Amino acid sequence: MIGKIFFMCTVTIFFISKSWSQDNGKLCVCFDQSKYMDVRLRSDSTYTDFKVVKEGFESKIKRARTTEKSKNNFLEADPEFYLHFYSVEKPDVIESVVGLCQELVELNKFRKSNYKKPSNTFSNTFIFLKKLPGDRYLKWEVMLEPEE
Amino acid sequence: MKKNYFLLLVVIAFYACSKEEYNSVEDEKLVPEYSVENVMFKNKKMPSSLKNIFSKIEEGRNEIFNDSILYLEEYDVEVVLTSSFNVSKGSYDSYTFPTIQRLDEPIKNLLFSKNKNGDYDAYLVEYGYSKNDLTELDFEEIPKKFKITPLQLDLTALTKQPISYFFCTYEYFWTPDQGQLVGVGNTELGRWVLIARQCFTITYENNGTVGFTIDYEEGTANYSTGSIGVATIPMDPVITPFDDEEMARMEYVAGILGLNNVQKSWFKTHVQSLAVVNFLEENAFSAEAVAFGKKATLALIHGDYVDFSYQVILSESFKNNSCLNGVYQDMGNASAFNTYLNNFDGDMSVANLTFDSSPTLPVNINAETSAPENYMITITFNENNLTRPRLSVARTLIHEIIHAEMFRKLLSVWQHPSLDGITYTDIVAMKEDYPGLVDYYTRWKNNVPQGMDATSAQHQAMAQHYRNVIINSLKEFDDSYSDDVYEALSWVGLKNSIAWNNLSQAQKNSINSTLYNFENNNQNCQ
Repeated sequence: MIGKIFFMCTVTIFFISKSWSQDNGKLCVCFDQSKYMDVRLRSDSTYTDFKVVKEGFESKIKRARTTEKSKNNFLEADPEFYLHFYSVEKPDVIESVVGLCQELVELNKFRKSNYKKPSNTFSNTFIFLKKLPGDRYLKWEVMLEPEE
Repeated sequence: MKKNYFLLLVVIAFYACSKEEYNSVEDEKLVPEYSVENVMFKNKKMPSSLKNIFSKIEEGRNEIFNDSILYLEEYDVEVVLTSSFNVSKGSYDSYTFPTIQRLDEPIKNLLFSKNKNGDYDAYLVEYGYSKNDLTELDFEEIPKKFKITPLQLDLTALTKQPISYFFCTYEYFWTPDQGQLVGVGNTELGRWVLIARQCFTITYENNGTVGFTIDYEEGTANYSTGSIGVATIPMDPVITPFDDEEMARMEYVAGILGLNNVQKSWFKTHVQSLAVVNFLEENAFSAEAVAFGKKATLALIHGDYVDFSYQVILSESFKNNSCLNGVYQDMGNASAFNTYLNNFDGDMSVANLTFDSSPTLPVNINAETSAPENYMITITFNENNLTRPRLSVARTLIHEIIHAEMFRKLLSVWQHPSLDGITYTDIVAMKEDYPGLVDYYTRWKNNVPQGMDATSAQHQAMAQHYRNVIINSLKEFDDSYSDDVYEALSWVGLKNSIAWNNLSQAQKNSINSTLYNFENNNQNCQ
């Protein structure tokens, strides 16, 4: 199932790579939620919290070890293993992603590149896309919760 | 006394190029299209024969000479050896060094000029005008005269056994002013005369100090005449921007700061160094001041901006980023930040802060504040996360300054240049000084409540106690938004805190909606 979703995301990226807008500057991230992302949707779907695990901290054991190591260092903030995104609107179901994004990447690639936005994307909001059956997508406009 | 000296004057420069009347005929004939180059002391490009002279200076120097000034006691002239101007064209080659002198004294330079044998002869060139004259008189009013005194620089004598020798001071004069050659009949030689004005017997002494006596032998000088020749055309004066007192202070401070040779060389030739000197003197050379002085010097060398009043450094990348520097300036720079912090707590300040920026921080990091290193705390902004409203960038700025302030509080109790090695016991021991902060460090550091992601003890404290500082400073920056925007902004970066967790879900949703609308409906900073 996971492989199928990944394949669909990849195919989607391939087919629309030439056709999206060059104007809105947004980065679209296509994801399969089962492996690297925890999605929590409010019951009325008006608020969605996305929690993406950082590369290298996928296993509970690794996270526990890192936390243990940090206990004696009072200067450093406790290690943060996730990137937090949130959406304050209901997701839309869309039929096409044409004109939606400046760039579209698969979630794992986004993770692998240390979550760097491509240089031609300039919006401070992201679009998360989840492929649905029948060439449809679930789309959220999301904000990244920054670490400071 | 000091008022009479040069005050942070001009960068060493030639004036000759713009004054065509001055020696114009000779210049055209003798050194057409010369090249001019600033040559650092001991530069490898210096000719070996000249380097030999400097080697002798090195050998002859003792502790009363610093390593950048040669004192020609017989002329009471201090020559700045840090750098020189090299003028060359064909066989003509000269190196001119500035001297330290008062504004109202005739300008003097030490000139090394290549002779027929390929060696360099030394001359003291004295111009007929002072720095004051240059600035106050019209060009026509400046006396078109200078004199050149050949020097016998037996520099090895400075610390060797006592030695006596005899030499004369010769002076070249512009003949139309003197008239000595009238009637000689050779008008081609008539431009300059060489006159032996005075002759001396000098005895150097070596009794622990360097000194000598002079026997003046009046009447031993005879007139002689001749052409100045190719080798000794002096150019316009080279002027040191420093007086002797300043040079001495700079020398001392360069040593205190532990600068390497390249840094020292910069330090002694740039007027910005005096700000470092003044800062250290005003702060009685405390360890903290010396640490900042070193950082400030390296920053100045790198082209960064240093605010000595508030001990703040702006990196070149920060300063050149229109968004970051614009927000910083519009927030009222360090002075206003100081006021914001002081309004909250009289002890707070922005001292020992560096503002920097980086293009390599991860996307989720807006900025980060380093723990103090040698008293210095660095706030680094993510250059890629500036596509957001200016008020949002200002919020990050004040958020990070509060982090810095918390580090500073810990540092003040810990009483070390950095917090390295600090332990749980040390933190607990600080309880009497900053009970609130210590409480957050000890209570939350290793006890993250179930269901919450970790955040720093500083964020816990900030969420509970410092959000009003953020709100008030943002309103000072831009008061055109509704209160709920400032309230929402104050929570950014603090959402893993206990204080945030204590809000109702409705409150959290409202804040997030406000933030979303704010971020998407305002012009971005960059």
